[in-house]
Formats: sequence, structure tokens, C-alpha cells
Amino acid sequence: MSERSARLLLGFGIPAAVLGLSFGPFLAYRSQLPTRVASHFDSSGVADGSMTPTQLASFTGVMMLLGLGACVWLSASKHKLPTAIAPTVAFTGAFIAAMGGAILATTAVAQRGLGNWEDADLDPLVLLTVIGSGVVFGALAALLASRLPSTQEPGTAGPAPRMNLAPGEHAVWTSTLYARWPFVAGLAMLLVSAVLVPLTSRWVTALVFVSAVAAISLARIRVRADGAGLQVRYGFAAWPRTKVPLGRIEEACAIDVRPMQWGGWGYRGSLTLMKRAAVVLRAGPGIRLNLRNGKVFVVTIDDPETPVALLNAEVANARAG
Amino acid sequence: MLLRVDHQSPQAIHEQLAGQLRQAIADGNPAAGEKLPAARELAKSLGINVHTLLRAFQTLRDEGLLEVRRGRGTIVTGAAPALAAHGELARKLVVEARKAGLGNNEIRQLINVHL
Repeated sequence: MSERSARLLLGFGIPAAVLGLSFGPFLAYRSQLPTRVASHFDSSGVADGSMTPTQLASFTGVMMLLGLGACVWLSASKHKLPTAIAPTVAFTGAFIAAMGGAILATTAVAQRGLGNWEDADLDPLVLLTVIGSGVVFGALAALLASRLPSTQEPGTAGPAPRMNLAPGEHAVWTSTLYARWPFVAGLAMLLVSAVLVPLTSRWVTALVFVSAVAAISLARIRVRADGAGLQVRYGFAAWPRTKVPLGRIEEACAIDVRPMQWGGWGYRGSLTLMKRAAVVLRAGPGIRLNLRNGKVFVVTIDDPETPVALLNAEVANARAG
Repeated sequence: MLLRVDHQSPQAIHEQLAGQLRQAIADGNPAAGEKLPAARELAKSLGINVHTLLRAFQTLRDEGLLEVRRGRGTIVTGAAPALAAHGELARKLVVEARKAGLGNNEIRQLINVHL
């Protein structure tokens, strides 16, 4: 996709879709809505707050205005931002706007024909639609924003050493990196979620449980470099994992990872939606892969010089035929 | 842990791998208690038969550096780092002493003096 069409879709396509899909149903069902619509629900899904349809449209309208404003600004601006900033801003903007739009649309569809707002209850499907709309539009906007030009990557790339590997000769390097605090935090959250079961709604428990699993998944990574490329496995099972095939690698180098330059700790960024992804468990040495499509993948690991030299040798041998 | 196969070397492949594995354990990567990657996957990466790699694992198991736990895979033993580091020293001592013309009993006596 060209930069021009990405700008058009981000600046006009997404705003038009969000506004049309939200105000469309709202205006269509406006006359069938009760004088006040339910706007807040307790954790069991019973309505406990209300506002007039006009107030709801204004409130969600502001969410859409702010969120879509960010997308329009990105699409119109000629100013280059550091890599991954534009997709992050676009995701956040479209996420907020689409959630606001989905709240307006689902309220209009679900509460039309009701006599009183207190008769409304929250269908889990509605909640799923609202969150799903945010994620889908956010991802779409991030994908479009990643097509916009950006300034140079932070972090200076080191030299690209090469292991002495004869053609047809193969080597394999593996290493494990542990991070103590996500493991402790994850275990604590697992305990909390067990305690929460009888006390609160399933939604809250599920959220804490999912966070616990995510934290434990980032307590240990196993990295493997060989003729197939680079593989990172997270946590204590075979899945999830990230594979970067050798054919996608342009060059590998050892770098000093500063978490704030890569967006913090954890799995930051996205290889699909953004121009870079970084697996950051701590500050310090790491592997940086410059991919052939211009994207960057970073993973923290001790002794990165060995896998970097190995990968560069395998890349050179694969290209020599 | 870096493993590589040199097909030109006169040393057998399983011996090359055992040596590299011993060195890696002496260097602390993999550390004591850590699980080794699956032999099948490592062999695939190296383009060798899995039994060749398992033979190297077996050598280190006999030396007390690795232990195989049912359902848990191959683990580096607690004593492995010290054993691996000093096993290498012992090997060098024996090689050097033999070069100098010392016999087995003389080498044993040499070590006993220091025990």
C-alpha cells in the first residue's frame, strides 16, 4: 500500500467508518429510544446509571472527536515521528473512538423500544462488540500509520560480526533468560484470582487470571539461533513463540538494550502492525535483527555476540547458495 | 550454549559435541538445574542424526554432568559446573603428565599428595 492511500484511509476512511457505524444506527433508532437510556451497569450486568440519548451522543461524540482527531492529525502531518510512535498514537486514538462509537451504536440497537432505562441489562455480546471494535479499529489504524515515514531507530547498531562457518556446516546456539519479578507478580496474581472467585464477578477474576498468565509467560524466555533463523519461546510451555526465519534477516548485531528506547518492559511493539518489536526482560545486552523489509526485532539475552555471529554467517552462506 | 559440527576434524562428531557441551556447562550456560533443549530439535538444527547427539549426552551423563528425569527431559546436575570445569583441568594434567613420560600410578600419586 502506498503512503498516499494509507494517509487517505487513516484521515478519511477510518473516521467515516466510525462515525457512520455509530451515528447511523443512533439516528435511525433515535425516536424509538426511552427518554433516558441506561449508560452504566454493575458487574452483574444490571443497569445502575442513565443519561438522555443526547447526553450519550455528546459523551461518546467527544471520545470519537478526540480519538479520530489523533488519526486525522497523523494523516495530515508531514512531521516525522520516531519509529513506532505513530502506530501507537493511531492505535490509541482509533481504539478510544471505536469504543465510543460502539457504545453509542449498541445502546441504540439494544435499548430501542424499551419503556424505561431500568429494564435494560448488559448482554456480554455488547461488551464483546465494544472491546472488539476498539481492538479491530485500533489495529487497522496502527497498520496504516506504520506506512507513514518515520525518523531513524534509536540505539546505535553495533558491528555485524560473522562466525567462521563453512558452507554446508551448521551450528546451533541456545540460551535462557529469567526475570524474577514478573514470575513473583504472576504467582501473586494467580493467588488473588483464586481468592476473587467467590467475591466478585467472573469478568474481574478472568481479567486477573489472564494478566497472571501473561506475566508468568514473560518470566522466562528461551532463545535459539540456527540455520532456520531466530526463535524465542515465552514462559514454561512450547507456546507462545516468535520465529524469525533466516530468509527475513538482513543483518544481526549485538546491542545494549535500554528499555525506554524500545517502549518499556515486556513484549513491546508488533512486527505485523508496527515497524519494530522488542522482547525486553531487563536492561543490558541483546540481539537486534534488521529485517529485509526494514523492520527491526530486538530480544534481550546474555552473550548476544555468539548468536549474532552465527546468524550473520548462516545468512551469508544461505545467500551464497 | 553453542554447538557446532566440524566434518573436517579427525575427532568423532559425538566427541566434538560432548566437549562443547562440557565447556558450555563449565561456563555456566546452561546453569545447574537448567533443562537442555530437546535433543531432536538440536540434532535437526545441526543436520545430524539424533543418536549422535544422544551419545554425547550419554557421555556427560556418565561423567555426572547430566541426569535424565522421566517426563522432564535432560537436566544439568547441581555438581555439573564444578565437575565440568575441573574435569577439563584433570584431562589437561593427564595429557601433559603422559607427554612428560609419567605413568598412571605416578599421576595418581601426584594428585594424592594434594588430597
